[in-house]
Amino acid sequence: MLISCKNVYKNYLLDKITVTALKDISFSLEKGSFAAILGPSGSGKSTLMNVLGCLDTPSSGEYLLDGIDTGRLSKIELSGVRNKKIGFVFQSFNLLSRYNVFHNVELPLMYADLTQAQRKTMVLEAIKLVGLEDRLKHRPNELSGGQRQRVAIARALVNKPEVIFADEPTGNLDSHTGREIMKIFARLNDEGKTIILVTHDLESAKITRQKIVIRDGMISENTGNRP
Amino acid sequence: MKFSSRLFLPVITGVKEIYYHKLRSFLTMLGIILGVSSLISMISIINGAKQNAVKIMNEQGGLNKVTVKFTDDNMIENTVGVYKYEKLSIEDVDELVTKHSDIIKAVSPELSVHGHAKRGSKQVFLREVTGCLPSYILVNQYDVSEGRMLCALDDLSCARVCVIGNIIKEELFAEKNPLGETIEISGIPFRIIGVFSNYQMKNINFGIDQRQLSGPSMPGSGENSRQKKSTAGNRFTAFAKNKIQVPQYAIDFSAKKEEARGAEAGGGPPGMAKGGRPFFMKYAENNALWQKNLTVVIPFTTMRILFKDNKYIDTLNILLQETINLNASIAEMKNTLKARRMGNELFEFTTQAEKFEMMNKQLEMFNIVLGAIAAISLVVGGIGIMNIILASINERIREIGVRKSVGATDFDIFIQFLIETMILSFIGGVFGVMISVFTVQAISIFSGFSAVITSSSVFLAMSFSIITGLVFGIYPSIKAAGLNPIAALRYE
Repeated sequence: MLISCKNVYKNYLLDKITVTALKDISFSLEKGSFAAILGPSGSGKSTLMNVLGCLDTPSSGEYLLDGIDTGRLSKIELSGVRNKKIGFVFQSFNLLSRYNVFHNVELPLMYADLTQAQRKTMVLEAIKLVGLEDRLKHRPNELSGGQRQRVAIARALVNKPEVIFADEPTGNLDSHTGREIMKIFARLNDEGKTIILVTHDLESAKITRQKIVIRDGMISENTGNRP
Repeated sequence: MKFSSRLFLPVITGVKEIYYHKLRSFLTMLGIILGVSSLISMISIINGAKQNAVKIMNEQGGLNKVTVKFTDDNMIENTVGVYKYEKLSIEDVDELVTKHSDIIKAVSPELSVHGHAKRGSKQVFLREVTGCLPSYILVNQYDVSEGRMLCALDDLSCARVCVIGNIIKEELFAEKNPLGETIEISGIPFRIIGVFSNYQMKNINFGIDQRQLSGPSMPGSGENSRQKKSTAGNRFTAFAKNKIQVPQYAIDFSAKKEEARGAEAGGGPPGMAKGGRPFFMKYAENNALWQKNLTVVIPFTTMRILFKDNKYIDTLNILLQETINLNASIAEMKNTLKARRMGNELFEFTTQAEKFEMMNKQLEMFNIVLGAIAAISLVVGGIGIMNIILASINERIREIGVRKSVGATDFDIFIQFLIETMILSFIGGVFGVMISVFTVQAISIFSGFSAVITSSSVFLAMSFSIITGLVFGIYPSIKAAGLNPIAALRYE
């Protein structure tokens, strides 16, 4: 199992009141899955993604990523896990505006001890996967929305992660470009990548193979759940 | 060779960040630039002043010159005792030389009177006419540029010959050759056999009165009796004394005011130029060594016979073999004289070391004041940097979130921002050094003494600027590093 959650809870303290964002989340995903975490806003799907993406740790319960119990890791170790095993694609691209395509994609590798030559090969490889080889020197503001999101995907791919989290990747794109981006995800999944899509948009979730619906912090439906 | 990207990442991002915000970065650096350039300029000026003062001091005889004088205080004390305390005599000098031949290189016993030099209708008032032996030029660091110095034969024959300084030559002879000419010194004709070199050294005009600093021993101490006589020459001395009472190393302009007041009070005694300025003022300006040019020396014995009615010596200048063990050597010589005066210490030994120390103290004060100014501007510069970095962190919260989401640790972010501030302050420091090169050059040209930028001052200023960047970068960097990646990624 690549991802395995057992009775995961996440509590927040908001103005002295404890808010439970995730309640008793249990599910698992295999390597090569293409899953969508669906739910309306405020349902807790973003919290779940943060926990799954090692940006946050569960308050209780157990989350194993590739066999590692993330609840036991220190902040620095979590950074290492994010760097080596996880790639993020955000709704608003989150590219560094002053860096060109190459350097944006290179960013995760800068925090991994790699030589310049190694970095270059990996970056070019990732950029090739999203078909932006001719835009290496362009800055994000010189690219279209779809191209920007492809840069973001390349950045998520560059460190050859175990799993890619895509948080509303089509939210800022028109439907045509959005479909193209989803096709890229589908292709990457065909090539063996594990992809978790976080969205409230059922349309873009159609392409995925497994759907996990979150409501009020709990899993209300899991189409491909295997206990 | 394997370069870890993680090591250079903060440097690369820092440089990029500064490059992308050229104007903002420059404004941020301004404080550091000013701080560093003022720090370096200050150190250079003070070093230049010091070197200048050392040069002047060496022209006065260097550190191995010791001046022995009968102290004023003894004039009162000696009325009680059975023995009459004698002033310094030539026998005392003989004893000193024979007993301490191992430490003494040369001695110059000197007699001095106030007087005037006259040639035809032209007249120059002298604060000092000195009767001396040929050793005078060795001990007091003089060179004869025309003719010759007094010799032993002049002394033996009580010749009425003199060697004059450049000011007297210019005042009395203008462009003419003075050698062989006769001038009247206090009414007695003397033949000029030599002229001293023209001594020129620029003053340092930023507060320290070099004339006070470098002035040769003024006549007057231990000569109260003579001062009571009311002659034009003595009036001049009175004002000279007056000037001495201005605290040593007084601020330059106050000394000048004092002089101006003295000149007015004097009601324009002879020897003053028409404007109320003493005639020598034009020589004194911008020349720390002008007093050397006002020297007139005649043979020791001639002086004694013509102007003195006793066997005593006014001043004994001793040139020591070496400056090490200066205090021990002085103590030995003091003991010898003490033994000759029934165990009473009647003589004051002064060296240039004391003057040098005083000057050093003065310069140290300047160091502190100017150093404080430089430190304040560095602190202000540091606060400016901190302010800008804090603002830029706010702008870059999302960037920090992205970096953290792709694997940057808190420490990576901390180092990134710290290095950025340090690069800012370093570049500011480099600019500051470059500016100080120009300011120091300008100061050198306008003030006329050489202020040199030393590598140590550059090193000091650069380390200060980098430390400023470090200190003021820590807080913003901690703030940046502590950001929650989830909140940072969602920050609008």
